Amino acid sequence: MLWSKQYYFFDADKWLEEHGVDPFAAASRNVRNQEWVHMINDQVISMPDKWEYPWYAAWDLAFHTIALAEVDVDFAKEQLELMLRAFYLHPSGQIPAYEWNFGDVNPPVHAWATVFLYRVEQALRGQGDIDFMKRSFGKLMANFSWWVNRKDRFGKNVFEGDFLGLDNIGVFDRSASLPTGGHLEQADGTAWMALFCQNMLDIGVEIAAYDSTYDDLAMKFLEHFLWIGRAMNHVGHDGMWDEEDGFYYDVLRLPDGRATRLKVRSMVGLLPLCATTVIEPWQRERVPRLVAHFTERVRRMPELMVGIHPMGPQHRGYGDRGMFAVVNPERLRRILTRMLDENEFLSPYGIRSLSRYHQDHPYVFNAEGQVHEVNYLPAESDSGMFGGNSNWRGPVWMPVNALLLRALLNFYLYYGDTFKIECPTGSGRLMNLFEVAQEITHRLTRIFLRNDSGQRPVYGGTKKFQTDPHWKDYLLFYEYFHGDNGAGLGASHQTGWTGLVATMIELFGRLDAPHFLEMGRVAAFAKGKGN
Amino acid sequence: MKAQTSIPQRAAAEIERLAETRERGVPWRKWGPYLSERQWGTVREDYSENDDAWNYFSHDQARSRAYRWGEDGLAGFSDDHQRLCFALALWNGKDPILKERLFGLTNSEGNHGEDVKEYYFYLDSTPTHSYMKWLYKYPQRAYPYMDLVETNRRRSRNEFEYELLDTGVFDEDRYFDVFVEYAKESPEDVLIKITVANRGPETAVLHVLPTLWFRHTWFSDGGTPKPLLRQMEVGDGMTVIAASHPELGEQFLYCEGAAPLLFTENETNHQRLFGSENRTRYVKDGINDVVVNGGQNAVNPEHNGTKAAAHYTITVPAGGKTEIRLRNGCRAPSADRGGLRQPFRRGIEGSAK
Repeated sequence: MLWSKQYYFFDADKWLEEHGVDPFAAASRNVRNQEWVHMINDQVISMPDKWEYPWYAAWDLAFHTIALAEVDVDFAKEQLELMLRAFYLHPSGQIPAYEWNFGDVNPPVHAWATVFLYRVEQALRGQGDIDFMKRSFGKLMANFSWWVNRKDRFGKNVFEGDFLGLDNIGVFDRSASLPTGGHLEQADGTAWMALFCQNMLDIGVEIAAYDSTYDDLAMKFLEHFLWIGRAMNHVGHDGMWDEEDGFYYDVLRLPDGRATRLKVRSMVGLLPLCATTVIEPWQRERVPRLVAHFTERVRRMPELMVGIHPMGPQHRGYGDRGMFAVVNPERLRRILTRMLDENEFLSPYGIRSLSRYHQDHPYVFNAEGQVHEVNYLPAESDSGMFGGNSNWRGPVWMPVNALLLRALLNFYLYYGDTFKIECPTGSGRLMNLFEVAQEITHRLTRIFLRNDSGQRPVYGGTKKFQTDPHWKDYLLFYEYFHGDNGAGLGASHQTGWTGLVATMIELFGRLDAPHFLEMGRVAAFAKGKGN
Repeated sequence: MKAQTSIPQRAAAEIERLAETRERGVPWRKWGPYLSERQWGTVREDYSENDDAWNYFSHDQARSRAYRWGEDGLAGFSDDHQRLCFALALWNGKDPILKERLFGLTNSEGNHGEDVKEYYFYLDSTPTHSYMKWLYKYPQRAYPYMDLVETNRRRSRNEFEYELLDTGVFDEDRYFDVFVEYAKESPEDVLIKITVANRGPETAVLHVLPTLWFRHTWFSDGGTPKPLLRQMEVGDGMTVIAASHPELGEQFLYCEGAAPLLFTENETNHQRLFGSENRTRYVKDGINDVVVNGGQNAVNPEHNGTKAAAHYTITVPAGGKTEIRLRNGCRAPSADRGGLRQPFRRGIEGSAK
């Protein structure tokens, strides 16, 4: 993946001028990216794939930095900061998506990557880079405000975000206007924002140890998390949670006021699990004003606690830890039961982007006489949606698997051995959530390893790659993987986020559950256990 | 620090380079694999009226048309602002064009969208690019450009993609494994080793053209002054291309053996593409034309320009391999008496490999 670095040059003002566009004129020719005139990109950037995607992509890049930090945390930090510089970040606070349309919306994972890199460096050098955190926190506040003001249409703490990186996962093209009219309340968009709140809170609490003014600044994100958690867990016919199915869905709100859940069992419904962050007791001690504010807020509005994971002094977990999570224990169990079902999400090679339930039960939606259908497609896409070379209706994608693993580890730090679940569902084998994460990692790494018959699933039925000594040990990092047999699909040099598998191998090769449970999150970052 | 003693020494050397970069600003990162693999078909190069990036600037045009915003190539290497670029060009004697860049289908040509149709592998790299290794599998038969385009275009979304292996071009293992390794002797002194292995059953000839050029930055509207490549006579069994760039200073590419040097300009061949008059005497595809079609008219007899290549013609026996060594950096010829073999060995050992 170090080979995927590329010099990227784009001077928007000059480019637009050469296209005959005056971005400051009242009306001009419709040329893409003209609202990004401030951009001057003139740096080496980690690309998703230098042939297929030879341009940076914001959320891909955040995942790249996680894998890059294994060997070069300085470069990784520089990459994250680059996207927040004034020559990149839009004056409105939006992070540029990619050159096809810088104004598209990618999932907000930048803050997560920021805090991750901080902890990597802290473990490596004994000291984290607090200035990096401060600079990022300020810029990310602007980005957060952009989301809140632009993507929460009616101020209801539920979010849209168009396709949000998951190309064809929806019933409709989520970037186009809906055939039914109205709008979507997206479970994934809303979950991403809940995670964003948690990450900002995490950053703020860290800085507060050095600068107590951040105690107040972080409060905003605690509050916002509560609003979002409440909105997301709203129960009723128009809420995202479906009590009967035990799953989160996007909600379609029609112009006439009616609302309906779009019951596609997809990654969209698993992402609420990812908005999960454990709080260590020492973190609470750093922000007394924030803790007091929380107590007061909840005393006055106890309804905010409905639906989300229990928190507060009466709900401490292992090691006196607290828990920020959108999903409460009952729902966690119900969602995991589906996620760990081999007939639904759990493939031999990781977690699928769409439940295999839809193989025999396609989701069908009638809109204005037009039938929209979602089928389980474990291989390539059968439609041209989003260029047609990515498919989120079945295959295994590394980045979202990584976030699910992160969530499971956070839940484990809270529950320890008190929460066990059958894995796979129906197998009779009970596992704690560390073991579940380990099992999923094992399945993901299997994509690349030789199986009992000496074949690497990633190379599928390509004989040359399976047997020829001059081919068989050269691994390619594909963009995504077949939901049933693990074969590599899409771009073949997507080292970036598929490179996350290296981080997983390293982590689970090193970490043992009891040590992790004792030490907490720091153990995940400290190389060489015990020093 | 305790943990570091157990880390192999080579990794320790790389950790040291990273620390020098961070603490003292030693420019270990200045040179790296910063070229793209596809600049054609990108949004930035698209000046069409209908936002049709894929078709406005095609692979077929790329060898003849100067890019505006970036450069691409095989095993590409450049400085961190991509002023001076290095990459490999290859010719098997059968293809209609040099292999200067990876071929693939555009979004509308592929049955599942765009797709690169080549076999290349990133085998190794340290974080500072003090060592890197890359592999490309180049067929000895003519590369099936048309077959790939036409067969895939006929296939539906529900069918498998038609891959290069499916065309039969690799049958009997009639291909070359072309390895490229980079090793930095110092931050601005890069050793390059090209190893060509013939995996086929018969002796085969390969043209190898290590190519040096400047990104096109000398536009009339406020670009930088035009940089220059020129041949230098040094004797010593090697040829040298000297590169003068106002921002980079002087750089020298040393090429082992007496390979002839070919010079042209990184300028558009308007005549071939648009039927209009060329603005410069020599154009981007000049080296391509000389190697593939013969003659010498398309390259500059004065041996200078903005794009240049050393033209090696090697004959590799079945199962055998041949090495070519080069060295690129700011070290001037007078200061260098070390040749190419010794420092390369040192460079490899000193790196994290």
